[in-house]
Amino acid sequence: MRVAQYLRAHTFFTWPALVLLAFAVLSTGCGSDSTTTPAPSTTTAQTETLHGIMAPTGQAVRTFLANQAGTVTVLLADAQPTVTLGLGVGVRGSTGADCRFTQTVNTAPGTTAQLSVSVDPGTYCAGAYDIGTVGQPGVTVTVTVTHP
Amino acid sequence: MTAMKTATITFGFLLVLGLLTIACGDNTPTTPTTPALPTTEKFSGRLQVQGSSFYSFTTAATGQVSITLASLVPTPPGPASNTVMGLGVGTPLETDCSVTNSVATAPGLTAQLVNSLAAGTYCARIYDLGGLTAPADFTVRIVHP
Repeated sequence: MRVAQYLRAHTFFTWPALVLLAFAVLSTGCGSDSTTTPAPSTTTAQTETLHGIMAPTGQAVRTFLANQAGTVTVLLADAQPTVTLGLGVGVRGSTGADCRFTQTVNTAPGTTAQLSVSVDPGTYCAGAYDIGTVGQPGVTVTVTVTHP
Repeated sequence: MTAMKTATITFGFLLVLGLLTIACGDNTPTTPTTPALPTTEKFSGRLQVQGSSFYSFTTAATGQVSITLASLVPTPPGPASNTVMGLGVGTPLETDCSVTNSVATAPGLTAQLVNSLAAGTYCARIYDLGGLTAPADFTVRIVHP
């Protein structure tokens, strides 16, 4: 009731005023949205681990996806029993059955990466292979791959 | 008269509120256009000393073609060879590949040969520059539109 009395007392709340008010509110309230600048993409290195039992003359390989260009490091972290193994990084062949190595090194298990290679975005593989040091019944290996 | 004026004013406020409600609805979402992902092809084989091999591929649109000599291994699975080989791109010509751009390169995992090519059929060629002392397994990766 008080509102009605107030409105009656103030003549600017007339029909034209209300229409103008509506347009004003609509004009200012529905303006174009402000553009937001996308946050720069930040990609942290990913670490993947392969743990398996490798038979004599065999290989233990893991496939991984590098989402962007960067550096891949490969670490032969453990081999039980402790033996020197071949460690490599490369790509799967056209059949996808085997890992075709680009870089290899013969190494004992360690704590720092034994291989480091620059890559384009894409799918790669890395792992260990027997260089004639693996006896029966095989060797348990742990290979860690860090990639972009 | 007073009641009528009050009703008019009330109706006016309701009209304003109604307009605000319907005018500020959600915008129609637009579906972002996704560029076509590049295609990755690999060709592998065993290259003889002084030998060569090629692989034909087709690009669907004009764009960047990246070719990588990714692996060269005489005695799989290793050790990997660091021998410098010839790597080229060109167009198929009868039973061979007529190379237009080439590079001498060791295996790596970043593209050694990058070209902007129009849509069409091309070929990638790997060939021994004289460094091979024994046959070797190779893998070449091709990324194209």
